[in-house]
Amino acid sequence: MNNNETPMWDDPAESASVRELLQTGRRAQVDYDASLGLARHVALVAAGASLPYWAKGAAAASASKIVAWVAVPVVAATVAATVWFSQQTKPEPVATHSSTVEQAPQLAAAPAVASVVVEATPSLAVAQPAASSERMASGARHKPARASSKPAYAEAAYGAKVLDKRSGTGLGTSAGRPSSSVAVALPSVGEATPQEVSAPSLTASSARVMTRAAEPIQPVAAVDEERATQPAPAAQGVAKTVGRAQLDDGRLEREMQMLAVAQRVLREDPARALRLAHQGEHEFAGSMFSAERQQVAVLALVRLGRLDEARRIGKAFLSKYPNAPWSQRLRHALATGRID
Amino acid sequence: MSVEGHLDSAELFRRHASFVANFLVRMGVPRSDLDDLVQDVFLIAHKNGGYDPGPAKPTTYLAAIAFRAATTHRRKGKTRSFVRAESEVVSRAGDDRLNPERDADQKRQLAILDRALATLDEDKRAVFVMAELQGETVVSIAAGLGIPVDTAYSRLRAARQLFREAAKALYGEDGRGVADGMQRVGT
Repeated sequence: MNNNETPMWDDPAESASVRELLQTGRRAQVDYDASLGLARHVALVAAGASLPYWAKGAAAASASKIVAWVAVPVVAATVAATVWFSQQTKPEPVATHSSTVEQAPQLAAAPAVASVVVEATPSLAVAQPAASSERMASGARHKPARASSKPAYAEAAYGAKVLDKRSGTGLGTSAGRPSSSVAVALPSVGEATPQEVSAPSLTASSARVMTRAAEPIQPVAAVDEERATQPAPAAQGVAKTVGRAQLDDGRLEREMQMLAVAQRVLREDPARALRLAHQGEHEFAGSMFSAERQQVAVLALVRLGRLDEARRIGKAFLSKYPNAPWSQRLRHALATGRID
Repeated sequence: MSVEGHLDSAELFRRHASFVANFLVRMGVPRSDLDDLVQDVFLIAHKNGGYDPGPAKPTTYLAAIAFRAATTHRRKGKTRSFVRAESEVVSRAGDDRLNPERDADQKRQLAILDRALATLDEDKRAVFVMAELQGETVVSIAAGLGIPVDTAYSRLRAARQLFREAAKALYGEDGRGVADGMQRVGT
């Protein structure tokens, strides 16, 4: 077959069975919960998760090879030179010396040996963290440690283009870039009151994906009520600085909770789902879950029977996200006026 | 997106998580490890700074990472057997639950497909899956994997031939079915 790109499943020259096999494979979609996966990804990024063990292993192996090529000849030469030097300068045995010195005359050249070994140590030391990090990482997958990875590893490990040398860990940004957002205005609704977002609880699956500290989760309503009684953020001073990481975690959880509640009540109480989506967009504008919120808002409009409005917003939204995990559902809802 | 065409990892996830999951499964990753590997792929994409437009499309860029993830994962002995993934793939890939007969037929087809894919080595399998099952162009695949276009074509040609032979053996030219076909290739 020449370098043509006619796929086998569409090539009349292929047997019917092969074409059928491939067509089945193309149609089959793996049952993967992309929304839950995205939540987990965001949590991992926010926690500064370290690279997977196998990536570290690849990097370590690569580093070890380089170190081996450089260090082994250097060490070998050093040892040979040391032995030769010690033999040339070996002191005459003295009858009064201890038996230890007599049994190991080469140790008498300890100062010279030590100086050479110290010189060699830096190059050898490079290999140790790499090897040990691999061992450690194999037992501590995705621990929320500070990101200590070197982006350059990816180039060696994957041969893939390393697009940026920054190792961004910030939530809502990737390597310092602001997260993308869709310029689709949410429908205007009244601001949700604290009562509207009555204390939700994370589902088991949601809780499973969180990699956060053991700090108890604040219900959404409780957060709203506290905000009303607390001093302005600017006045919080030290407390804000001290607990910044925790606050970031709490903010992420609150956002996820709010979204989870909106999705949960979409069928039974679409007006509330719409209010929550609006409140979330107001509070967490431009965050990673902005698209998910807007999708909920459009579905809520469909459920409320505001189809014209839903279609107007949804059309722009789907042009931006034609292949998102929920795009098909949204497309179907806009076409039929019903949500699955 | 502050830079034209740039996609951060969340956006990549939102658009292409299903693509990556499907690719990993077709590379033989078992269900039990699927989510972890999907996370690994996008975590690495995040550490790389996301995707910037280039010769590789976002999908082939991610597939190249996923390819390394799958192969390294297997070589490390993390998975018990890639062949083992077959039954799991079949059990979750059926999307025609309303028709049990068609559902069962599709499962049989997918079982054969995965057996046939398992006869390819990793390099050929990755190119074949991307080109034949996920509709990527060879030029984009080559860019994603960082290999010359001719090499990609060469792998695809070889993979097609091997797949054809394996499918024929598994399928049974006389329509004797999956079980007979599998016995014939010693599985």
